[in-house]
Amino acid sequence: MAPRSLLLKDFPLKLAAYIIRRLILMLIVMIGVATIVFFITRVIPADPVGAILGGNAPLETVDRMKRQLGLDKPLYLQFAEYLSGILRGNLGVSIVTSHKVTDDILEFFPATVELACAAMLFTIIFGILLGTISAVKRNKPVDHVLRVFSILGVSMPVFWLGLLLLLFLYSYLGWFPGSGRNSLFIFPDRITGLVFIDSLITRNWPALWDSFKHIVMPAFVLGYAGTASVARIMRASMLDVLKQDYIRTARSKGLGRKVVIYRHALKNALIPVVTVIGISFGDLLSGAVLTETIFSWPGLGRYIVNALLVMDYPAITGATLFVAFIYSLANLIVDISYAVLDPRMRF
Amino acid sequence: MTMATRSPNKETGLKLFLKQSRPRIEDLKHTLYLWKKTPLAMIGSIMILLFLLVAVFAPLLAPYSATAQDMNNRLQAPSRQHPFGTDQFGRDILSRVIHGARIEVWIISLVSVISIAIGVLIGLTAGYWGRFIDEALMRLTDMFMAFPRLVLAMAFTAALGPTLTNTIIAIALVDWTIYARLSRADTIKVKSQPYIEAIRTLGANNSRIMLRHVLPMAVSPVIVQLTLRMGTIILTAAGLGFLGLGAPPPTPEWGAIVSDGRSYLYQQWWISTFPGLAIAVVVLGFNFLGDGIRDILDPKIRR
Repeated sequence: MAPRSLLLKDFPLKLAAYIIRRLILMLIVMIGVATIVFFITRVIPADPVGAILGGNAPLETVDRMKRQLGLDKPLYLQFAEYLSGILRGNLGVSIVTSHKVTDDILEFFPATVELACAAMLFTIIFGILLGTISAVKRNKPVDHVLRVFSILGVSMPVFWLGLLLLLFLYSYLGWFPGSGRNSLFIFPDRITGLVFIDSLITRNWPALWDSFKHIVMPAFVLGYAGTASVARIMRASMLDVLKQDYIRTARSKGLGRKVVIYRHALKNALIPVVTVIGISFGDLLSGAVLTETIFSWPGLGRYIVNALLVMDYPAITGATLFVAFIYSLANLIVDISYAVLDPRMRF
Repeated sequence: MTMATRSPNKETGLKLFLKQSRPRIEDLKHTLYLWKKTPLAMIGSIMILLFLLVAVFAPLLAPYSATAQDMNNRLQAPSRQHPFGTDQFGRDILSRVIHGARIEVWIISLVSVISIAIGVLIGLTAGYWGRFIDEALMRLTDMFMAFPRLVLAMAFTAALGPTLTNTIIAIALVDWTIYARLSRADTIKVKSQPYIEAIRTLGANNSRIMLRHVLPMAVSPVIVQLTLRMGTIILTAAGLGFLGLGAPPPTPEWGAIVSDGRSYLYQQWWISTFPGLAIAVVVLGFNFLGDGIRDILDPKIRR
């Protein structure tokens, strides 16, 4: 990494400029995202209130509902109110839960974070492991078997794999619980909303073990799908690194094959994996919607599905905007960390 | 100067065409050779071919109707009469899965056509005109890419109303972004080539250059990408169907059939298992082919 020291002087400055530019771009994109969501919830549906109340609702109820949701005003006024509401952090009140949407999001989001982190951990560990083994055993039978195994992960519908696991591991074998984050009476006191952290803080070991048993199946289902892309990039990147001169030098110094692979090559081969992890984060959120539905996981994905099925406008708007925001933020963080990891990247 | 567009010598059009396309045919032969040597691509192609055949001959292959109810034969386990069993309305699962193949083919083809049309139009315009138009269209693309795919598709179908057509529109509205980015990148590359400048000097107008000279060069990576994405299209459609946001009952969409069997899963496992297996097998076929294609087109391994 010789060029790094040469660049180091103006590197932080360039990085700061890059981050600021990306933040401005993200702001523009988020305004557009809000506009798309406005179109989806207010402009496209022909009869939004009818969809909530059903066809036979009396006229005055419909009118009251319209006034309550602000749907009686002209569209441009609705849009202005909508945008100013978002900027003030006011996402309205959910029709179904009759809580403030912001409260609902805070209530459901931690469960999704926990599931996504567990799945991500699985994806990264298995993806890197499979990719490295494939690269080292290039074109040997092991390579082919692992490749088919990882392609299988992206090919199986998440919801179907989930149902199969429920059938075998929950219903037949009874190894894991089938739904939710915790058993009925083994729940840690809520501090952060993340059951793992909460059980650790309160030293509630039975709750920790219970949470672990609950998260294994959903995390596996969600994580397996991402493994293939990480493994593919890892394999290609590892093959590339293994061809480099410094690897040959290390080998010719008399270092063992394993030492060279795991000490020297692995670290450098990891850089491209960072980008795929960012991309697969979006798939993870998409997959979380289905996984949460199957395992009755009380997360944001299930909240969105329930809101969509009954056309709960404020909830749909708030939750969708929030998910898009988190997704964009994750991509931004990945891009920035990529820029930090690899100073050769042009800003 | 006018000779450049028409055949410059006495040779007839067809002969000239054959002569000019010889390198291309050679390249195609080489691709075919690589395809034969890539077992995954071969297996994938066979799987997809079978899937298409099932879809085409569905009415001949299916032993029963896909939608007719038979209350005397509810929830039958797989047997000789009903190899995949029956559901809560006595409908034969095998027949529903076979007829479902047609629906999946329909979804894949329409989504591909619509999303490629939108994507290439936007990418071509952005890349060709550049500057402000490029900036605006690319930010628009970013906005659509800021959502997790399934979440946006769900929101679109929910707003449009859950029908098969709306599912297709929703998936296409989510799927076009990648084609826009690809065709934009290629348009920019092609646009600065000297031959485009030459054609312009000959008096071709912008739309002619765009459609006749830039578009054909920008379209092949889009086609490759399409084959890689077909599996994802089925998975998205099935996911929507499973959540109850796809085609309405009794449409035998595979995701919807899996969803039908969900409440019977622990006693009548076959209702959800077989349609899900069908999805997995077809998507696996597309992914095998896609994986093979990536290898075949990889310039590092190609020669």
